[in-house]
Amino acid sequence: MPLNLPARYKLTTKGFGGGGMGTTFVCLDEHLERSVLVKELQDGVDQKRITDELRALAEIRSKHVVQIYDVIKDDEGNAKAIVEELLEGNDLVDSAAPKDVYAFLYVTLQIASGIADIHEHGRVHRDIKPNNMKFDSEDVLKIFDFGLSRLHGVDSSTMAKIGTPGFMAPELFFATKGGTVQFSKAVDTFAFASTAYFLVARTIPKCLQKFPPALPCADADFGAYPIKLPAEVVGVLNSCFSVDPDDRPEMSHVRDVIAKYLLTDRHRAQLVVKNGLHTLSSANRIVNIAAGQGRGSCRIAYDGNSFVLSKVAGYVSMNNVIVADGMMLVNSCVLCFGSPDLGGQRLFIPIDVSHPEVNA
Amino acid sequence: MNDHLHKSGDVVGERYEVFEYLGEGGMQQVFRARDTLLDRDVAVKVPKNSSAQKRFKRSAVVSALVNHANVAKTLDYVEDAGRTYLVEELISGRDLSLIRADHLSFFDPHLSARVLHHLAKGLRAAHHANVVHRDLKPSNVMVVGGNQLLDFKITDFGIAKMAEAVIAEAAVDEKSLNASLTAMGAIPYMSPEALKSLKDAKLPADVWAIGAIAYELLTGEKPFGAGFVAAKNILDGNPPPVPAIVGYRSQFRKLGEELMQIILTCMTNDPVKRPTADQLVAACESLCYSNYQPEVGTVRNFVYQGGTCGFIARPEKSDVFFHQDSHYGEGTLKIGERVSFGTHVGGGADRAFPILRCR
Repeated sequence: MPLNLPARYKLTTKGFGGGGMGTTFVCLDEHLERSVLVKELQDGVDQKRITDELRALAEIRSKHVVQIYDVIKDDEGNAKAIVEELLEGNDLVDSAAPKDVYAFLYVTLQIASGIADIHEHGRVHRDIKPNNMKFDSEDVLKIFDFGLSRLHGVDSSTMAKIGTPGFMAPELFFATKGGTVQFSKAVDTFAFASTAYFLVARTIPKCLQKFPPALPCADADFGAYPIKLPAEVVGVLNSCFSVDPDDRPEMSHVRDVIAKYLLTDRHRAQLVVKNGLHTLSSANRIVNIAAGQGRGSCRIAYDGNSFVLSKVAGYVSMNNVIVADGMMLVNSCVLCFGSPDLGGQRLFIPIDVSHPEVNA
Repeated sequence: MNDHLHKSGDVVGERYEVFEYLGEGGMQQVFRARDTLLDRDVAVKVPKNSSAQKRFKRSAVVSALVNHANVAKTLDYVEDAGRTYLVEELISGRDLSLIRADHLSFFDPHLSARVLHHLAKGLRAAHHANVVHRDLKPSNVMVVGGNQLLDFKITDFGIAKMAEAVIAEAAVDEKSLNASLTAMGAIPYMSPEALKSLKDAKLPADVWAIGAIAYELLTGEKPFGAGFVAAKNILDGNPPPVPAIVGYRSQFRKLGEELMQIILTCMTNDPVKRPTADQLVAACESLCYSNYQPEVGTVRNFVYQGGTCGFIARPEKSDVFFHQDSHYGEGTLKIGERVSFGTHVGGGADRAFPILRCR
């Protein structure tokens, strides 16, 4: 082994050879008596770039990004390997496929959250795919193997080295004038959609495996997915496959849409009516409120994701905004029945909407 | 003069450059340092005396077994010039006992539920690794972002290993053992079995402690009182009372009661009958609560309805509308009082809910 391991790390098993990174080893860190993963970096990669990337990685505070512990350098001070948290579980290729919509949303929420965290730190992962994420012992999904060495000077002849077919966005196949490929965070968004597609389908649509991917195509459509997803989720996932990177959504938006549907039928709205409590939920979806004395009335109906106001009559406001049919309750509000000139004669109903916390 | 073990500029293990002294617990001093290898700030912990130092490596190894977002991460352990150092994730914030001492006497049910849920998830990860904390108390809970209350992390897993050694040396008789425990501030959060014999405290003792911490957060009172009184009450086995504050205002009553129910089961006398950390997390997952990010402001004035609603002034932001019913706590809010609150979109002005009175 060319790598000179510091004394604290004792080699236990030789791992798999890994893609753009060098060889991977499992070692025992004798200082903390825990197993760690040592990843050898490829020779010939620009040191400054590696240092920048490692610092960026160390800065990312996300529970869905693997933790870096140490960097192993040679005598000249060049980084030769990184030491990181060892994840014992299966990667997403070897994990069982999510069996229903909820399980699918639960996994994709974690992937989307992790990528959104990376993007929030101004970084691009560059090699999002099911092999590069694992569940830890607490079933928290973690993303690893950033495309550290896949940054520069790539032309079509070395294309295979910059990513994995099926997960590579169309723009990666077209070098700019300088002969380099531009990596924007939208390449992660595209790869996220391929990863999400793989989760249940266990395959990548053929059209995405072409060089470059042949889009749009009928197969790369979450509307035709083996499990039936909510229309808004289908829409946002399909938009991640947009040919133009500018048409792909922010990952934070993707995350929020998925989170919304994980909470379907799990919200609770509490109405305080004259010191008594009225609760709306999936078990009790509709309430009609009539304030009497000509002050106004309306209906609130829970559609599984929002509490929607309808049948509004008279003067009804919510947090000081006049209510119209189709408006949704904001998370914490006061419904007020009666015109302002009634002053204290109006009926005030404080409402708060809450839900369980669903993230891992 | 101070008795800090390091000064700014000291380099530990050829890697960690000490920036400043952050504070200390019963057994260790904590410094903020720069990890010059990865260019990130970290917390470096150094044992204060030799009896603590002896067990420090063991304590570091134990804490490294726990890896979860709600537990301070163990990054490194180094020995340098005869001293031992534990390097941890730096949490910019303050511990929960300090937040309670000078900012908020108690949290509303929404915030309390979030704390209990997150601490329970951290505890679950520890218990899955078969690590018992044994010294859970508010000063061992770090609040990320300080008064912004962004996130909550358990620290000092493994400290019980050190504490055992220190206590073993100090406790030649029962009196001094009790004195050490009191000094450590642990008694109000200790289960009956832990009080009887700290060594026998197993996983359920941590569940009890988490329940006691959550009880104090929700009500502002320790479940069994403070100091030696607490020890007697805990051993007598009477369940703690449910303070009136929990059901005081309608809008908080349902969640407050659901949460209190969970908390009380954590403090069941028989350890076997307490929920496991897994069951505690599951119970928290069933709670509906608002995940709000608190802001701080001052009650400016009242409008309409004889002082039941008005406006809260925020620094450099527009005023927020509030109603007295959105206040979790006794009595009514008065002009000039400082408050911590969640903000929700409204016409003309945003709306505050929930509202807590600041100390």
